Amino acid sequence: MTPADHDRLRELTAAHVLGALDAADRAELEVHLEVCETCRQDVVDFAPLPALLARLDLAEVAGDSPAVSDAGGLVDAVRADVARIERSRRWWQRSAVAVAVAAAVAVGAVLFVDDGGTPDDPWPGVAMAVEVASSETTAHIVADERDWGTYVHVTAEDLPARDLYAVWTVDRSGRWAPVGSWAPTPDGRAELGCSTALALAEIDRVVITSADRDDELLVAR
Amino acid sequence: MTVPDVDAAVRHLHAAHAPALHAWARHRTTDAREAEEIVQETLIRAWRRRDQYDPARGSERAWLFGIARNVAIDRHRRARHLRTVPADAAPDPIDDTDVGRAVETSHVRDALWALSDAHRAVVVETYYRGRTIAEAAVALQIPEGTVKSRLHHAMRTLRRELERHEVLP
Repeated sequence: MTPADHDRLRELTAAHVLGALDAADRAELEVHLEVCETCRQDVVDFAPLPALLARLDLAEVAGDSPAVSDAGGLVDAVRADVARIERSRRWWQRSAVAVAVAAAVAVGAVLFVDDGGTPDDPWPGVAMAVEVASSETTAHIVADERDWGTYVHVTAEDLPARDLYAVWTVDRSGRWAPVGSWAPTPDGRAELGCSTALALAEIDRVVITSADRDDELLVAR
Repeated sequence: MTVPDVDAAVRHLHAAHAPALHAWARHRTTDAREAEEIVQETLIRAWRRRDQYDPARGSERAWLFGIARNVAIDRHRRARHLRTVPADAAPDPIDDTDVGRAVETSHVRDALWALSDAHRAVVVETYYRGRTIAEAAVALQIPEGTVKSRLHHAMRTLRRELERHEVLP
C-alpha cells in the first residue's frame, strides 16, 4: 500500500457511504478499511449524511436553483411599516404634551407624562403616552397592531391601592370595553397582556380604573 | 435606524432565509402564491418583532421557522373564517418537533445549493438518481476519477456546513 493507493482509496469513502461503488471498488475499499483508521473515520463522518439528504427529493436538488421573489416587495412593506410607526409615535407624543399642559393649567393637577418609546423597548409596537393620577405610579403601555386587532402590553407599578384593577379600551366613538383585570400584587407591580379586536387606529385611549370604574388611575393614548 | 440601514437589514434577512422559508412553505401548500405570501408575512412579522429574538435560545433560522409556523396557522384560520376553504379542512398540525426538523432540512437544502454546480451534480447523480460512479461519469461526461474526487469533496463540505449549523455534532 503506497500513499498514492491510500489517497485513491480514500476518495472512495464518500461513494461507498452513498452506495455508488461497483463491486470491485467496494471489495478493495473494504479490505483497506480494516487497516486504515483515517478512511474508517471518513466513513463514520459521512454515515449520517444519506439520511439527511433523503429529506429532499430529486426535484428540489436538480435543475436551476429554486426561484424566490426578490427582496423588493419586503423592503417596501417594511418601509411602509416603519413610516406608519413613526407617524403614530410622533402623533401620540404631540398629543400627550398638549393634553398634559391643558390639564395642568385647567385643574392644577400634576400629570406625569411618559415620553413614549425607548429604542430598547422589549415589546414591539407603539409606546403610548401615559398620564397617571398618582405621582407614585410608573407605567409603560405598548400597543401593537396585529392581523386580528391590537395587542396591548401593560406594565404598571405603584398604582393607588384598590381591591381590583381593570383595563379598558375606549374606541373613537367613546365605547368602553374591558380587556383585562388583576388583583393587587404584593410588590405593587403588574404586567399583563390585553387583546382587542379594535385596530390600533380605532383605539382612542387605554384606561386603567378600579374594578367599578369609579376612578381613572391611568390613561394612555 | 436610517432608511439605508433598514433596507440593508431587511435584505440580509431575505437573502439569508427566504429560500429556506419558501421551500418549506411549498411543502405545505401547492399554491405558489400562498407560499410567497407566507414567506413575506413571516419576514415582516420577524422584522416587527426583531427585538424579541434571543440568540441564546436558538438560531435566527429556528426563530423564523417558529414564526412561519404561526403565520401558516393564522392564514389558514383566516381563510376558513372567510370561507375560502372548507370549514372542516384542518391544516396539518405543526408542532415543535416538526419545526426543529424543518430547520434541519432547510440547512441540508442550503448546504446542497451552496456547493458548486459541478459538486452538486455528482451528489445528484449518485445519490438522488441512484447511479454508480461509472454511470455518473457517463452522464456528466467526466472521468470516473473526477466523479470520485468531487464526491469526496462535496461530502466533506456538506458535513462541515451541517456541523456549522449544528445539524450534526
